[in-house]
Amino acid sequence: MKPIIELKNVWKTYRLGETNVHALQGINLRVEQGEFIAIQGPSGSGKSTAMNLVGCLDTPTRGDVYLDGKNISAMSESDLAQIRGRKIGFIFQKFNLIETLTALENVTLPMTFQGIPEEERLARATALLKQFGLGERLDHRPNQLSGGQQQRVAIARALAIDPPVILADEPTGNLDSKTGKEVMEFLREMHKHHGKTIVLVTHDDILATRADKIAFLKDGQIINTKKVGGNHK
Amino acid sequence: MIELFRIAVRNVLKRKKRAALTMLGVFIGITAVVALISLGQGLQQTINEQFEKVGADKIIIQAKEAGFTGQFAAGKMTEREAELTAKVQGVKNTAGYLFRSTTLQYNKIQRAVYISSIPDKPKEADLIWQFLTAEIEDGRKISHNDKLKANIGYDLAHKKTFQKNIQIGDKIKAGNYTLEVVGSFLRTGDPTFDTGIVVPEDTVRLIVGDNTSFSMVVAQAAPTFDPETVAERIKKEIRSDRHQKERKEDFTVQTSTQLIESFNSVFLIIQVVFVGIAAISLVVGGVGIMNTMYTSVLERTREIGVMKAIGARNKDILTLFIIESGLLGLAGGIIGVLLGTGLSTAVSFGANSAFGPNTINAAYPPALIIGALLFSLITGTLSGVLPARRASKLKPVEALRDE
Repeated sequence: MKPIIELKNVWKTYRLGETNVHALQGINLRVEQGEFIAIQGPSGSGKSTAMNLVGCLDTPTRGDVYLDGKNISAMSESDLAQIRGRKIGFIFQKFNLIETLTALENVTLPMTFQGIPEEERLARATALLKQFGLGERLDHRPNQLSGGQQQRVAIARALAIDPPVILADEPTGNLDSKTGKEVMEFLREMHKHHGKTIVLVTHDDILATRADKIAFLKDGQIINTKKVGGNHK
Repeated sequence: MIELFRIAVRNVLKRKKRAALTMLGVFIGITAVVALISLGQGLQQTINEQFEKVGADKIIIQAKEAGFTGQFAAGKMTEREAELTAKVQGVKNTAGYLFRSTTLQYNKIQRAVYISSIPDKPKEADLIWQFLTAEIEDGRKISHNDKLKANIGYDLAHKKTFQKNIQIGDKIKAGNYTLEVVGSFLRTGDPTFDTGIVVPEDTVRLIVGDNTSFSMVVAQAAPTFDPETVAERIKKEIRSDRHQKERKEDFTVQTSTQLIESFNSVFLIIQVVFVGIAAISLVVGGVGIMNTMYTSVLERTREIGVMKAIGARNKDILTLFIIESGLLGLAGGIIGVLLGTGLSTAVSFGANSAFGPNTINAAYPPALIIGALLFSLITGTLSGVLPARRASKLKPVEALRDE
């Protein structure tokens, strides 16, 4: 099978004053299409850096990152924005909804950037929010919604452009355990029934076991990759 | 684009207090300029209308006031010069006009007023009446064979200048001569005329004790002649009579068209100064907008990061922020135009009720309104360019990391 994401000998080096900090040190990672992978590691392990590269939010210092067969390592910021907008749906720990916009507008926004006509945007966003039980909350602002509701809006937003890859960064970190469970259920369903590739970034051992595969990161290197087969509990 | 516009409106509205304070810088300047220019234009219109009544065929010959040496004697024309003028080819009619100050006594109160003369020949009197553009409200105009009669300005009949209003038939004392008031004028808008009196030329000469000189000579060009050509000829004639060199004359010969042009050019300078002040205040307003936008970029760093993560390109972010600052400018401009037109309307209403109708009628030329709005929009937009560029260049990773 063709990998949808591939990192080949990727280095990311930051300059901190006089010293170079190697956040990633020659990482190799293959994510197959339709796979549910967890990137797990303690804080400072480089997992955020890795997520940024997988999410096309950043380019590597050295090495190559392929998304859907395309090398994004040397792309301009605007080209990266286009690719992100089409291929990747982001779910953040802090939801990151735009405070000034309603739930509906937040969900239509990624489609706006892709130039999708307004009618289609509204129809799709409305359908998605209804699907997540927010049909009555279309015109609510993020600060009028509970954490769980906000994360559901964020998930709807991530799905708005129907991307092949969903990148979830500690998606349950700011939620209570029950709502967190719902979110994880949802990710599994997207994976299982809609064939989405899911990349879950977490420090949590138990959460990571919900994926098909876990890549352990430590000190900027992948020290272990194991198949777990998706824990449904 | 429409969607970005909608988001921009939301963002501006979300921070209402800050937006209002930011706009203050823009709308104060716009208010001042709109008010001043609309009043100025109104005044200019009133004066131009008066000039139009005088007629384009009039030529005014008068001494340059005071002269470089400060001698007041320089400010006179002579009867001989009036006669010379009458002989110039293309001159249809000529009349001398006296405009002096004198003391006026009425109701046991004495004041200094201006006194104007009407020639004693009917044709010449007609010309001066045309030149004065004054119309009778009560009573009658003085005629060429009146002696010791007077017409009074609007204010004397209405403003209790002498603690009570002068009535038709009343006696007033100008200098040492007692005059009978036979008519009063409608308001002209010229304060020296509205507070002054008009008297036959012979009577003025008695009062001011001057037998030969005029304050100015008014000539009328014949219909087939170009007034400016005629004016040049008059100038040449008087110059040679006074033995003066070209461009060194101590008198001026101007057609009423030239007078209005020189008047309008003064007005243009005043307006340019106003617009200059506006430009300065708008620069200050623009700096205010820039400051607000920079603050906004800092505050919304994370939001910018999120937008970029979900597919916003640099130019989308750039456009969004520029629309926001343009909106701040335009909104300031709209408020400024409303306040400015309101202010000038109030001022002209106040002036008209205090000093009589048509003292000043504020004018609102569309160019002023559109110009003011355009100017504020451009100021806002330009002020937003640098902050917007900063926002658009934020790296998504760093922006998302921002807490």
